[in-house]
Amino acid sequence: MTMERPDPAMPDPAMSDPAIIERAALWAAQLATDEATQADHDACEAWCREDPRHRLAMDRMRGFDRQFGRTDGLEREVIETLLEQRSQDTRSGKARRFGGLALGLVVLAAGGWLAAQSLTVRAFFPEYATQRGEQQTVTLTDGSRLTLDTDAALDFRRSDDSRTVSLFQGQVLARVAREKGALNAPHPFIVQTGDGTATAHGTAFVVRRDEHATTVTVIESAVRVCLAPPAAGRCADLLPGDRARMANGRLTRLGRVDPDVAAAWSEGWLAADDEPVTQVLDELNRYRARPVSFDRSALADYRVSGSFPLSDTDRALEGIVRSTGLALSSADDGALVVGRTK
Amino acid sequence: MPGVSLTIDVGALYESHGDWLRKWLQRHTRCGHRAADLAQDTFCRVLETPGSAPLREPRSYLSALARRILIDDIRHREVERAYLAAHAAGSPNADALTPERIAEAAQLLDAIVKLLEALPDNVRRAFMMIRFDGLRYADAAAVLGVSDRMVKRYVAQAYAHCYAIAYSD
Repeated sequence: MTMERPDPAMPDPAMSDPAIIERAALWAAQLATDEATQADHDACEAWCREDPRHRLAMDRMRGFDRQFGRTDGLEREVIETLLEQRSQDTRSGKARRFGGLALGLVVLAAGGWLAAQSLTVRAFFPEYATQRGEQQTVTLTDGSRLTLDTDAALDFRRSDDSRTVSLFQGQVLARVAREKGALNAPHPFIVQTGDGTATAHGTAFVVRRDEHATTVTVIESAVRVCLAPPAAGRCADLLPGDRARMANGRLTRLGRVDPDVAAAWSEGWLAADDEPVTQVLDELNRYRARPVSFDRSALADYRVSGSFPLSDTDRALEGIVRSTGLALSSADDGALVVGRTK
Repeated sequence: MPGVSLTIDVGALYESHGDWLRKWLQRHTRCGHRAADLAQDTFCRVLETPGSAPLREPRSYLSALARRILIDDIRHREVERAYLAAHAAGSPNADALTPERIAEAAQLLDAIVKLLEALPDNVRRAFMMIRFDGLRYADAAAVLGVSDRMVKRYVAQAYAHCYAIAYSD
């Protein structure tokens, strides 16, 4: 695979260059209202294409916008009220309200308060995010490529000793770039979630973060998975086709899978190899704006094999129905229902 | 692997100072549950902060961190209260308000307020008008009594500031 790639020996660069941040901030301001023209958008896109660091800085700005855009009218009022309050507090020195603690805040603000804050703040402003039904492939500043599946959100950081993807939700396929230029120890490539970490010793693997668990599937080479604290230290090494689940401080090996099937979603296919149809429908629903409904117990014995297109989930649904001999109908409210033929 | 040695350090730290930290927090919060939660948060924060493996004086390090987390917690509660108050005043429909909904909204609002609160007044007002109220540059300029270009600079300044806060390490 060929792609433009920055010098891998370079530290995570976007933050350290104030000129880039400033330029990205100006673009963000330029594009902030509906006065922005198509020419403005094109010019910004051209700037992003010049350098992956430009793209990263801009992606981060858009991450802020996404979250600001999520607020409704009421929430905006609350924000405004709180900001008014706090700016008045600062002016009148009313921060004393926190009792003896206020002094601590002032002192700490001078040294590293921001750094400690940034991780908690950042989780709410992911650099990369996909909508439901959307997939996106991004090239990171180290040349690695991530494919985000439907409804996913993540962040990428590069530090002196590692490359870390923080996966907040959804599923991601990581294709890790080898650091050819690095003469010293290579920077490990880590995907972390609240449940634990997956460290690549090679190239491709999938991490999926569901509401209560994280699943890691290895496509190529090897990956070490480790639980997050308080169970930290418990680890397992996985080979291609191996899967492990991390949840509630427990690490469980799951049955082996065909690596091609496990990564099929990244090529736009929902692949099933003799799986319960309910499980495949659940999976399909992750991509659909309007989920299809079905009676779990009535379909319990049905299984399905095949590949179904994620780009057209209606067509995928028809395919699943056809290959299982089930029937598709519409409920009164227009929602699609899968059931047994009468 | 650098990650491993760090996690071992935190484990040991937890063993030898966990109880002490909980007691320290309990003195400041007067609530056992909250102290336990905050102590947990403190150790998580130690793990999240790269290269921060505490060195010679773990207790002063931990209490400094816990102090920040405590302040954070107080402010978070303030956000939650403001959100609930606005909701009570704005809509009589209390059914829409689930604990999950409140927690989610408060987290989002807290994060946004953190980004914006340190901005100078004019910059903040310009940003709110453009980004949240959907005003155009000319309208915001009229309200603030400055030029369009100035408002645009304010907004850019706000974005750069958000960036610095979120990616400062």
